[in-house]
Amino acid sequence: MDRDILDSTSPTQDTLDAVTDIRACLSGDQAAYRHVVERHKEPVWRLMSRFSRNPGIIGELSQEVFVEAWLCLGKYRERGPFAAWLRTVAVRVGYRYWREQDRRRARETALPENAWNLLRSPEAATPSEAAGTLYGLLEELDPKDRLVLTLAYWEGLNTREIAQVTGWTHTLVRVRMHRARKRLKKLLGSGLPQGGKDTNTV
Amino acid sequence: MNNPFGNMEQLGVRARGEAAVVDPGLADEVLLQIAGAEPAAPRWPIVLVTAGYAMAACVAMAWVFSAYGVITHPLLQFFNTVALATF
Repeated sequence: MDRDILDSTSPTQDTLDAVTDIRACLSGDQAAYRHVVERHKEPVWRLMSRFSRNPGIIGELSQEVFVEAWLCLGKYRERGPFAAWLRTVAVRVGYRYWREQDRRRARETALPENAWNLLRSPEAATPSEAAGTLYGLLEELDPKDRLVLTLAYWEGLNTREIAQVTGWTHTLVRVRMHRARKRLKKLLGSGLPQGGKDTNTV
Repeated sequence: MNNPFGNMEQLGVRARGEAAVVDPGLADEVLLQIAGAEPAAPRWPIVLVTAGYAMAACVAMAWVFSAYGVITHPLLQFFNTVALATF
């Protein structure tokens, strides 16, 4: 997600515009919500692409984020940037999707053929290959471990920011991070997984 | 592999450069789905009203118990006074 917007502590023009639109939305103006969606659709889409590699599913998840945000707009307190609040909604939606997937034991993607080489020399990977490899590797973990590592490696968040986004305590995030890294290390040590779970395509 | 976590971080940095091809119809779809649905109002009035009812119930119970001598405690006497003043 757009770190510049999310990291800002002082109200930017963008935040002020968003607040004006949100107040209009709360008074029943649905057209104002179009501005909100247009303003935030790219960072939300980008974030949801961490939760799926299937463009159709990314689209559905992004829609779900904006619908859920609309339904609980009243909970937005205007204490921080709207984008940061929206990111917590997006992470909740993405995490829920992963848990559903995990229950069905459905694996979304197969690892790229050259994943092992890309992991050895990441500088040689294109952004798309890097994303595919990262996604495929982290998909082997359970949703909680996967979420902390995805937010850490892919979104570049530190443990405090992960705690903010997920609503978990900082201590819990640190413990989960430690465990997740241990599991990942074990996974990498045993060679790249070639389908530990069912390889159902969704 | 010398530093798998470092390599994962590097993969993440490269992966962040992936272009986001956003569906141009996203906003239309969202507006279609929320048509007719109102955003939930802030919950603080509900919380205040509930807290008010809960306090009133506590005061009433304290008044009843102390008035009938079921529980005799100085704090209840205070509630009794408050309740009598309130109702």
